[in-house]
Amino acid sequence: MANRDEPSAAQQPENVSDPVDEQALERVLEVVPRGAIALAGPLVILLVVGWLLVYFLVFLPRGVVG
Amino acid sequence: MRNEQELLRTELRWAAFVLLGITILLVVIIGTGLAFSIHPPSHHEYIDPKTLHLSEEFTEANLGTRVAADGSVTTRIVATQFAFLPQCIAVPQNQRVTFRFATPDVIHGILIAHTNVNTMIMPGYVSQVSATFPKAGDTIMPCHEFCGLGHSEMWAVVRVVPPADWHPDAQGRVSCAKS
Repeated sequence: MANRDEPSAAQQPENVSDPVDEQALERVLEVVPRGAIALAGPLVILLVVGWLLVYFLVFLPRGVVG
Repeated sequence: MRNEQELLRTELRWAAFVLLGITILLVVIIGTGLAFSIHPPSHHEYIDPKTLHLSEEFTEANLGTRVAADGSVTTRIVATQFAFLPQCIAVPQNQRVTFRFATPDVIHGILIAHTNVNTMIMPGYVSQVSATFPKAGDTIMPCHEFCGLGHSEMWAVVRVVPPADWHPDAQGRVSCAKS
């Protein structure tokens, strides 16, 4: 039988698998957009440049059909 | 709250960046399309597939490449399970050639390697596409639409003939054998 006067041990810091510190969360959220842009930005630029290279160096030189 | 505003601003900046990329691609496609008149081969012409071999245009004797009196070059090809007739197509170098395809059986498709020629061949329709070949030599024209068990064996050769070797006969016909 559990003793109801004893508080649960589930919330004790050593028993919480991922303790979230509000200040740490703030700090991480400040960095997240910069990280996403650093990754996705150059990739999108590479994609557009790659498409343009194929269009101008492969597709157009192959001649116009009609 | 401050972070939420910062995230929103970042997302709007990202949306503007992506829109810029899409705009560049659209401007290039529409600009070159209008400047060079680039469009897919669209041709609406009906033909009865049951009597293709009796039609005036696609009888066996009329297939292949022919130079008209006005100098225009037209090639007529029948795509059938599992061959192109004729199997070798002679075309002149640096001259506009019009390809006309018809099929008596099922849907086929062709592309000519190293060019943008690419079209479907549907029973009941004449498919027409025009192109110019700047480089002499042989190139392959396979069927690219699965048409049955022999599909992988269905291909033809397009022989681009330099002007010095381009000699149409009295009827204006040119074949690979003569080139």
